[in-house]
Amino acid sequence: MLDSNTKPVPAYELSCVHSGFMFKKGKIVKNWKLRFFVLENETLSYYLTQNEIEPKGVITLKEITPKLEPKKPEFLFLQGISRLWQFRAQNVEERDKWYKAIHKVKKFQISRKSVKRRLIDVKELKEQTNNKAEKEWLKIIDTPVKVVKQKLDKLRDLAKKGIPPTLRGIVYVHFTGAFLLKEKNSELYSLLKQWPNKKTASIELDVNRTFPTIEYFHQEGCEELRNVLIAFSIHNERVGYVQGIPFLTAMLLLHLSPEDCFWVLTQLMEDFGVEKIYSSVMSGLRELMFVFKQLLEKYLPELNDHLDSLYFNPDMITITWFGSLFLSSSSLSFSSRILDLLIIEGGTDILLPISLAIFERSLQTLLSYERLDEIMQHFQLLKSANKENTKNDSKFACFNIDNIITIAYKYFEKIDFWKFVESSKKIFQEENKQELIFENLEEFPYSSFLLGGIVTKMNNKNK
Amino acid sequence: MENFKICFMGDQSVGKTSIINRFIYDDFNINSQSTVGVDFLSKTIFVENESVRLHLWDTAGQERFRCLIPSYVRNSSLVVIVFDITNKTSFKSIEFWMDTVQNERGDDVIVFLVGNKTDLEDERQVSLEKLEKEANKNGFLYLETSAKTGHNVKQLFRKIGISILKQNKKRKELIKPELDENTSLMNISLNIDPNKLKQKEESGCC
Repeated sequence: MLDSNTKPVPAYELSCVHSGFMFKKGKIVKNWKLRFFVLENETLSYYLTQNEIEPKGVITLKEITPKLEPKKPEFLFLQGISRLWQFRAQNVEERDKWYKAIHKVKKFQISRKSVKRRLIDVKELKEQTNNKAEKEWLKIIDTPVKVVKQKLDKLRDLAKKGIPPTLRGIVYVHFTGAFLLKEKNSELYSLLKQWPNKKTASIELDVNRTFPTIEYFHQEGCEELRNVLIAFSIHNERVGYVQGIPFLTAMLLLHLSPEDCFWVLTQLMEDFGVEKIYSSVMSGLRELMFVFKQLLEKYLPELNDHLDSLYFNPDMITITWFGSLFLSSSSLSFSSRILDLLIIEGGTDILLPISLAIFERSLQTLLSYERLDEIMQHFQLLKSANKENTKNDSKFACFNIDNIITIAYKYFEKIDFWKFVESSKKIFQEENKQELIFENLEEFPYSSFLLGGIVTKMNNKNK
Repeated sequence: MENFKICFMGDQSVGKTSIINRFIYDDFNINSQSTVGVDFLSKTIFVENESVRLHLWDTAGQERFRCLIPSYVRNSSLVVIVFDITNKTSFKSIEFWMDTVQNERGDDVIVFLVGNKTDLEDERQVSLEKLEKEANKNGFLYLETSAKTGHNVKQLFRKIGISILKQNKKRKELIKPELDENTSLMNISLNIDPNKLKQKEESGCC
């Protein structure tokens, strides 16, 4: 009999990711060190070993040119603004694979610059790629919104597999509707970033502390991050500046020009409900935390009882998960996939089934633990879970993002699930009535969590 | 082995995460990632021939998050309030953090005031005398550290270990008479495992 279960396609097959061992020449001590390299999300990270938890370093490919030298067939060079990186692969074939993979990422980065000028030549991009997922996404961007609206299931299926990192920027600008706002307010960003008398002390304390392992943010990325955060804090005074926002901003900057980043950020905040997470009393964050506790109790009662007996409270971890949209509590390859879904589904409620799925995938492990610190340490693994170790290392297997998304959609598709979420929200709002008055909830015209919210919105804007 | 919950509080970027990282990994990053919400690390230390497991809760310092932090202070045996000796404002905030602690825990908690960044002596804005005065006024413990150089970090955790054990012993003596019944409620806030407590009583050691 045929197995009716279709396996989800792993994300690494969809993006231009490449991984493997290479020698890297040291910056200060100029010897060759063997490192494990992972090319993803427009970054090249290197690890001591294949199963290492933290990368030793991350090279952002944004301002980098890959180079070869004919006399050194196994060598690969990456020329940055202030540094030349030198690598040696095991053989010429390996070296060529790396060169091609990096080159491909670079090619799409050039195309990203064209987003900046609002000249998305989708046809040209289509000719540049043979990757099936990239072709499909380009086709969707090229399709009128009305037609996309009729094929929402297809869009959702694609989003579940992850937006190819090479196209993430373009897709974000497109599906948040940021390009429409940018068109209408073309001068605004440059005006805001030079605003006089701005309060920046708090921003200043954090710009150097956002993704500190990514080299890009040591250099010009730091300045770009500062500018976007300042511009946003003036543009949206209700939110201003809150710790957590730099992570979202920085993640977007890896894929977008500062101006596009500003508009996508603004749209996510104001149209996708992210603003509620960071508002004055953080009602959105608290609401998500509250609802999640109810969900855990209802859907995973055995686990909930066990965790409860160890004095574990889901708030202990969900505050960071929701407060940074997973960006400070998991690797970028993990959190980017969640952000993809948040954008395509159109709201922060998607974080709920995802979080429940993370717990469900860890069910057996968590039930076997007898101490609170074991539980906490288990969730800390999420910080270093990546495509490689979730495949090869049993310790990380439960954090495989593809499996988590599959399970999350099992909940997502249940009407009962969302009914329960809605009723939990009502309880929360009732319990916190007094405090929430200050938030003036009517002022937040958020789109619905369900897919198509944003598409409808764009339709209206087009009219 | 007994577990104790230690909660780190203080303004944004005073070095809470760095002190913890210095203690756990003996390492320092000039730009450690900012903490969103709360973070958790644990380590076992040996003090006075006993090993204790410290659960270290690292909290976000920025203003907006302050409304959420109090619930994380609950059940902590000891609170470390950190300020930056080169930043007067962070010293002034001690009062706010103390109020937060007292609202949650009353006086039933040990408080440590820590002035961090002694490596930046040239930029000092808060004197050791001021810290001493502030601490004595409230009967708190105090220390100056540098997460960057490691200055006093080991001492800090040694002192934390000692005072926790001391307090724990005091408490055990206090609750001894009613040990057999109704101790569960006390045990939650003290982080004492009743079974282990009984074992110790029975064997009569330590």
